[in-house]
Amino acid sequence: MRIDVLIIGGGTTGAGIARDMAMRGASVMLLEKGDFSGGASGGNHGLLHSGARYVVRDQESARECAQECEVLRNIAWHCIEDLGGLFIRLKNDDGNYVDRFEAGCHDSSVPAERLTRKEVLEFEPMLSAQVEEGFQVRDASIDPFQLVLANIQSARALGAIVHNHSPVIEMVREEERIVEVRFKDRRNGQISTIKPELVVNAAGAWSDEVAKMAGCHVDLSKDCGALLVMSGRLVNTLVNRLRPPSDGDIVVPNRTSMVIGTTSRSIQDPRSAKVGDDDVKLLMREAVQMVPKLAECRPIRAYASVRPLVRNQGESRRASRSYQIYEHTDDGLDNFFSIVGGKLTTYRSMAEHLSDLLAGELGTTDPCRTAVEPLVERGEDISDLGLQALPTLQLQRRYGQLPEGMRERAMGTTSARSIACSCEQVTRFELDHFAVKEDVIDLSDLMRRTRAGMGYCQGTGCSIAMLSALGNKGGSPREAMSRFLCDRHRGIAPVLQGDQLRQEMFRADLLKGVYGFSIGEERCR
Amino acid sequence: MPGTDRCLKCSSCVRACPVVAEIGEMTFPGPRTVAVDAPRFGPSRVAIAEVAWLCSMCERCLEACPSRIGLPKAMLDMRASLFPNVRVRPGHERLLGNIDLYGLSIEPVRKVGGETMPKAKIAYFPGCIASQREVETMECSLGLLKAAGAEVEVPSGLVCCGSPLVKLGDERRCERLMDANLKILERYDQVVTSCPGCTVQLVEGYGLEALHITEFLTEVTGTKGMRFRPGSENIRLAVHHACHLSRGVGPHTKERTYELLSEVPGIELVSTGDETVCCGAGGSLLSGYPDVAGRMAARKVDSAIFCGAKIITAACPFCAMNLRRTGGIEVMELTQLISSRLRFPGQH
Repeated sequence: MRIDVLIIGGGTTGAGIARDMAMRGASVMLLEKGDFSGGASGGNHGLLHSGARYVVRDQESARECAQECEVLRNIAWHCIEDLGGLFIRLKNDDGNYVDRFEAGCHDSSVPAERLTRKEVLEFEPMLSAQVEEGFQVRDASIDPFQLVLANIQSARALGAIVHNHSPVIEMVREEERIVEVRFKDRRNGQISTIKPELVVNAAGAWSDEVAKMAGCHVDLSKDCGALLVMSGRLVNTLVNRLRPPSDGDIVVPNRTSMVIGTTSRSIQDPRSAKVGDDDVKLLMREAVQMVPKLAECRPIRAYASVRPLVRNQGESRRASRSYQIYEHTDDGLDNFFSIVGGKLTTYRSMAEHLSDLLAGELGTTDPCRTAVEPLVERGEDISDLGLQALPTLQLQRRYGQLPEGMRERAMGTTSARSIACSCEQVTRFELDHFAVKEDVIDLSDLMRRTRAGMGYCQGTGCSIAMLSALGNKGGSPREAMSRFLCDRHRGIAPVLQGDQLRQEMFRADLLKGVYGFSIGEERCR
Repeated sequence: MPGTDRCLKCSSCVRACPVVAEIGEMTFPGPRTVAVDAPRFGPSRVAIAEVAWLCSMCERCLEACPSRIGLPKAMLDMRASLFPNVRVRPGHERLLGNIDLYGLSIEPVRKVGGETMPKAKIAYFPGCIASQREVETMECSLGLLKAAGAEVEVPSGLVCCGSPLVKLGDERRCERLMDANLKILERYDQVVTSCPGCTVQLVEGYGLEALHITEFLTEVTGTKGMRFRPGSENIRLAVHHACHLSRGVGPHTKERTYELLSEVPGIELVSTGDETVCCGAGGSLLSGYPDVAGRMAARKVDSAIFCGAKIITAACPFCAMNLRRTGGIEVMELTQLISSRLRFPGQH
């Protein structure tokens, strides 16, 4: 089988490149070792940057974000909640920063409107009375899982072959070319060999390991960031602190929760990303200064992921969030490319940049069309499916257009009206729909596609529904359940207090007492 | 603060909900979704408007919740936040029209109340239903109060207590009514009511000293003044405890009801097991979804018939009206039932 471009890594960057190259007519294959958006692509705020966060320190990034967030509003309309953002200055914050911020916005063409204290509080009454002034910007919240899935769906529709749960295990190098790549399909353990023209390493925090497999090197600094998910929505605008970017200065309302982020700590191995007690305390302390009511709010879980950063400009927070493309000619290779760094908001332009390079290698002249063609077409009305209104709205918010075959099967089925996960208003029908897909072998896969299990109860009842939808897929149901529960528990453990502790006790009691599933920590280690 | 953050997703409220039991979770998702889940969706919570008025406010969920979440209040908050922007049900539209035209939730057919200046210390507040539809309830209540030795009067100029508007989420109209009623009721030491919905509103909404007639007859006057006709034929009677009485005013009212019934000769109580289950009238369900309210009432009537009862009684004119709509069994409001066995002067 001839493959023009093999992409390693199924995050936003990899999925974006797959779509871009498939649109230019190349034969594309994408391999992902786990599930899509398993790394930093899924472990972020879900914040579509207007660019304002970068206007003082990194105007290049700011300009890029300002352009790309408008592009994404158009092409990824279905997974964006266009809430708008605020940058607020509190009483003791440095007033000089405000002028630099305003000038920065102007210089990097980031739209920002200055608001008085009164206007800010009218806009978001839940903000602290310590607010002095603020700026309104065009931030929005975005569902990164759906963004990646939509890119993959689009790439597949254009003929791309995409496999998740398929780690690359070996790359065979002959002189200055990678001639063969071997990967293992975790579903059946089969090892396959492909012979790609070009190989792209888009493995994010794992890209140094992938590069090593090809016998070359990328310079990568790994920065672990912890985020805290709070139940419900006190604010309906993205709230940023108007000061130099720091820890815990963003609150993003996203779907049914608010995400507080983030911390920044340099680490070596992305597998060791972990939320510490200090991280949770720090995030809470900082966020409460902006939204005092958060102190009474119930934390749902905390998670950590690793940002892959380009190492050229210092480490962590001060490092530029811009990306770098390695052509590895120094390493003696001429068909291997690595793309490192960047951010969610600019994934498309990164993909475009690299795809231009790849297209040049392949000799294709088709221009990039990813900026103008929406990932999901607008306009399909699903209100006639006979579902309840809230789940209908959530279906539209999750998938835009209904995934293929869903409409036909949804009509008149009771499972389309029956709610499997009430936190996120996921219907049993959606679980059944995705459970039979080849991509889905695990409860976590099902969760990422439907959001079932992401709510504050963290899978108290819906985990059983997910398990029943999956049947015997992916091995022993007991093992599958155990993996999922451990994964959930890992996120809950750092915030075990108050109502979330009561919830976890109830969940453990129900799942253990009634169903015999253990969610004890000993299994999670 | 209803404390919705305390929810554990145990589904106790969903299992306790009589509307869910009647029409299924796929049509009405239950208190949890309206009160706890929907608000968490931010602006897209508006989609819950489709079902937010399907609750009868029976407060059974409040009783069932192990986390003591104020689910009914949270649902009312949700309705109030949605109300300005929804198209109301046809029945609710009529109700609002009546409020604007007559100050009553229903179209009046007679004039009620004579006293413009208070002569007695106690006012009887009949409420829309007892004054205009279940008129016997008002007549019998006044008769019983007189027999028990209380001096009461019906002030003129009273309007709807506002309880239906609280249930609809229309705070603006409700305040207007409350202002009008307060001017009149403030002049009395005590208010007695027949309708549990009114009682709750007068106590909690107005802050007045108001008692339901079952409380008043047992706690204030006692029943000594009532003389009953001996040798009345035995009747097999099923009791329906109105939700706003047994849960709204308080569980003690169940005892008060039985206390009163024990005074009446010839009554054989039949236990149905669902005495405290909602009949479907409350929470604006009867006006908004009469079909659902009717089905819930029919279920109660069915179980009373099954248990061998010949009559159902309820200490609430609104419940009595809804139960009577089914036509399956004789329905007597409590004061009506008690009055029917009173001995008339000169009778032996």
